[in-house]
Amino acid sequence: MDWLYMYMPIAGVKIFWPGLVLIGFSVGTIGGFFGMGGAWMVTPGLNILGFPMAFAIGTDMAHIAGKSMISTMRHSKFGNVDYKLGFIMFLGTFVGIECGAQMVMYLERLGQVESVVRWVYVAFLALIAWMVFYDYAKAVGKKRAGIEVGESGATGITWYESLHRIKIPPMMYFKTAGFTCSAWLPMGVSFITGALAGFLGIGGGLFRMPALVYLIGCPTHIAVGTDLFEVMISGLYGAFTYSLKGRIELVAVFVMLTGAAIGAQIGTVATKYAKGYGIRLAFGLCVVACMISIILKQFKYSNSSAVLILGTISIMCIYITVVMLKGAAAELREKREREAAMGRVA
Amino acid sequence: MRSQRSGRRFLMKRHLGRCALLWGAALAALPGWVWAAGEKATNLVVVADTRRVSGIMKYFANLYNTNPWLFAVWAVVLTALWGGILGFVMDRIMLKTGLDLKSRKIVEH
Repeated sequence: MDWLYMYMPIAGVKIFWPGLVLIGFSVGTIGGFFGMGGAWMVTPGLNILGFPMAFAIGTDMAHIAGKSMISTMRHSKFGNVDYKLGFIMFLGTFVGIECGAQMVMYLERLGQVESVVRWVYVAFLALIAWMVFYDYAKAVGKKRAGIEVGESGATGITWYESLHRIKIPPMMYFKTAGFTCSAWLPMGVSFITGALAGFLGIGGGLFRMPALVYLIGCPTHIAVGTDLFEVMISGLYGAFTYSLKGRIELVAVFVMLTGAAIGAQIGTVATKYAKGYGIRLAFGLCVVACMISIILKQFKYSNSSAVLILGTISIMCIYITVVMLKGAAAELREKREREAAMGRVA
Repeated sequence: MRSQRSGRRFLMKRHLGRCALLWGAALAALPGWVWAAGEKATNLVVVADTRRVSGIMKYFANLYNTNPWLFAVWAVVLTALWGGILGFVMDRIMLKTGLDLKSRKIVEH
């Protein structure tokens, strides 16, 4: 069974390569569906496969960049990427990340960084989870009462409507996302999510996606595509800096990307058949799992934490694949019936 | 009316100028910023074992040991290239399934 193991020349270890393909596939599927990089899923997976931690983050970063590129290409064809919004948010994200990192360094000097960072992370994840489920409950309530059902169905939290009333110039129209707002709104929001990402040491998709939906007012599908575009650019730069510091295993990146290419198609195409609130709800469950895993880690239950993360990844992958396959089968059936009906008429 | 319009244009230009300035400043400071998040990446002194690999793998392992800059450039170029190629190939395969991959209806609820 030696052929199932691949030698990684830089890390100097032999790795079970189908495991790498599987990680790539899973993260590609979940990332393409939710619009995030998914570093929180990859790092424990790589570690379990026997990857030295020093290489896990850099390798993960490069893989995320390539994977996001594949997903962005597909989302772009669906018209799910607002490039203008992505570029504007990019600026805020950069500045925010630096501020967050500075905050961490300050806490490091005080010697309390680890527990503070972990609990802040947990608090924000709890807030996001609450937002997602509260929003869902509100939308369901509205739908049942038959009120405020817009073009694309009922919506729960509409904080962005108040934020859109801020008219500080320059005002910008985002064609794909379909709204006009002050350019400072996406810049400000991305600054805050960037600062959080910098502070917590994560890519930020976990915060940016809900922020795009609830604070900026993007439809869920466009939030997913635009966020992936941002992840792609920052991931490429991250890959460069981590490579420069010798923290990357290029062979593993390519192997993982091969799995991610298939997963990204499944995840991205599945968004076509899923309702916005279906995506939000599944995302909320992922956030809860991530939050519990961090709490477990804080209390030194590292194995349980890894099991929870890997279990969530597996369940989500199965759910997304089922959504995609069911939707695709229904679409093809409909297409065949339409063609048969046209044939009968002719 | 005309002076109002030119005044607005002047204000717009000033805002755009400020945005451009901010953007420029951000780009200038880029190397230290991006992915400053995450584990603070300090230089890692690892020597890739070139005795156990051959061909292209040996070339990259050597490059990792001798020229980190070129290795980093290759890492980014190859990652983007491989991502692009896989995206293109998967696109061709997906087209063959007969699914409509160019339009979707946004339904939130």
